[in-house]
Amino acid sequence: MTENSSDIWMEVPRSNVYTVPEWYFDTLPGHIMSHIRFSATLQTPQQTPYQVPTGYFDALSSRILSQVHLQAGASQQTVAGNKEVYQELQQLAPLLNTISKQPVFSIPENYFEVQLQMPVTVADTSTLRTLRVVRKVNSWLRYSAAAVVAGIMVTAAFVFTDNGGPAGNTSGNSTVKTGKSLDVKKEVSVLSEDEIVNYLSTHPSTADVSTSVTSVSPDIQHIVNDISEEEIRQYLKENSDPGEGLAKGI
Amino acid sequence: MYPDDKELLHLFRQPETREQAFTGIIKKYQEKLYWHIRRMVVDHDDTHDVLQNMFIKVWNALDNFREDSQLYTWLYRIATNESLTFLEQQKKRSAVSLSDVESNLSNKIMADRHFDSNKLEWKLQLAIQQLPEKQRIVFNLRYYDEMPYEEMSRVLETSEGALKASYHHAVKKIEDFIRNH
Repeated sequence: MTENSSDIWMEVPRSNVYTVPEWYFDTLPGHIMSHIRFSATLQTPQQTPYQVPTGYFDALSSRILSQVHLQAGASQQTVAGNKEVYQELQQLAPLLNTISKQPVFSIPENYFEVQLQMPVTVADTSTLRTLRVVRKVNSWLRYSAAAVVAGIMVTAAFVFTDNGGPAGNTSGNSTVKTGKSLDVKKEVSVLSEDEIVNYLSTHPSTADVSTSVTSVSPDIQHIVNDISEEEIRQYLKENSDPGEGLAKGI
Repeated sequence: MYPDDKELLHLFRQPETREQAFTGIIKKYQEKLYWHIRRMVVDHDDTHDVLQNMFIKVWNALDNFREDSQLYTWLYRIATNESLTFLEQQKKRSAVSLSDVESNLSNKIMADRHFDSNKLEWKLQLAIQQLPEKQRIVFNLRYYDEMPYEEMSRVLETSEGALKASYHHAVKKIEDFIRNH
């Protein structure tokens, strides 16, 4: 059996039945090497003479998206807003037209829903008038207090430096005291209200007097309480039109 | 939708609808006025004080408001005056120079928890604070509120030509600031 098999193999011709393209083996190494080089090129980073900032590609997508949002915002604003303003700015500084006009500052949550209800809920006329009047009264009280203190100073100077002796008192000592009294009066009389108020604010002991006058003087409170609404309105009208003043002349 | 200003003023003059009308006025204009003031004084608490004082003044003066001008124009004028008064008081109180006040406002901007110096919108805020106060007002009214010069002229009682010049100067200064920072 073994011998017969060997015989058969001996009879099979050893010629190759397959064919290859002509010059196949001549060009094969070149093909393989070029394939290897090409694959290597794909796998290794391509060298370019250009430089890219570090992290450029990491941030690129977010930068593009933010630009897209800005442009979208700007065009929406333009549609909704004033084209004249947009065109004017386009001529002056187009850069500013690319900036979002959405508020950037943070505000407390629900601020507009909650906080600004307050003036209305307290907007019963008495409260609002009180707020306004207190401010005016405060300035009246300040001047009144300043006047009172000035009066006290003059009186004190008169009392302590002049014993109120009769005109006929000719003692040299008395003459000197009277002279001092007149000097104080003269000094105080030339002071402006601002100087007196300033003096009070820089000298705590006298400022205390003004505070106590402000806080406890029932007469002044009484006077203020007696002022009618109409008089206050008239005063406010004459002294403060909130719509006029500072902005004028810009 | 809010009633128009004429209707609101009419309701304000009726004792029984006075508060309701005033609430309507606040609701209608609060956001615009808030942002107008906020861009001037920067800090939220300061803005709130100015806005509240402003509306209290409006309450007191609204009876005497003659409808020669629009309510909207009048409110803006009061808000502008109140903001300027507030800034003046700050200057007097702290006895600092104008440039110190401006740098103080810039510091407040940078202290905002969302501040991002790389974002143009924040750079713009810093640039606005470098402007003189009056140019700042003109710029804000034109750029943000898109107010026509004619209307701005009524708010600020200034000629349209002067306002245009002021706005152009402001825009150029802001552009320079943004390009150089």
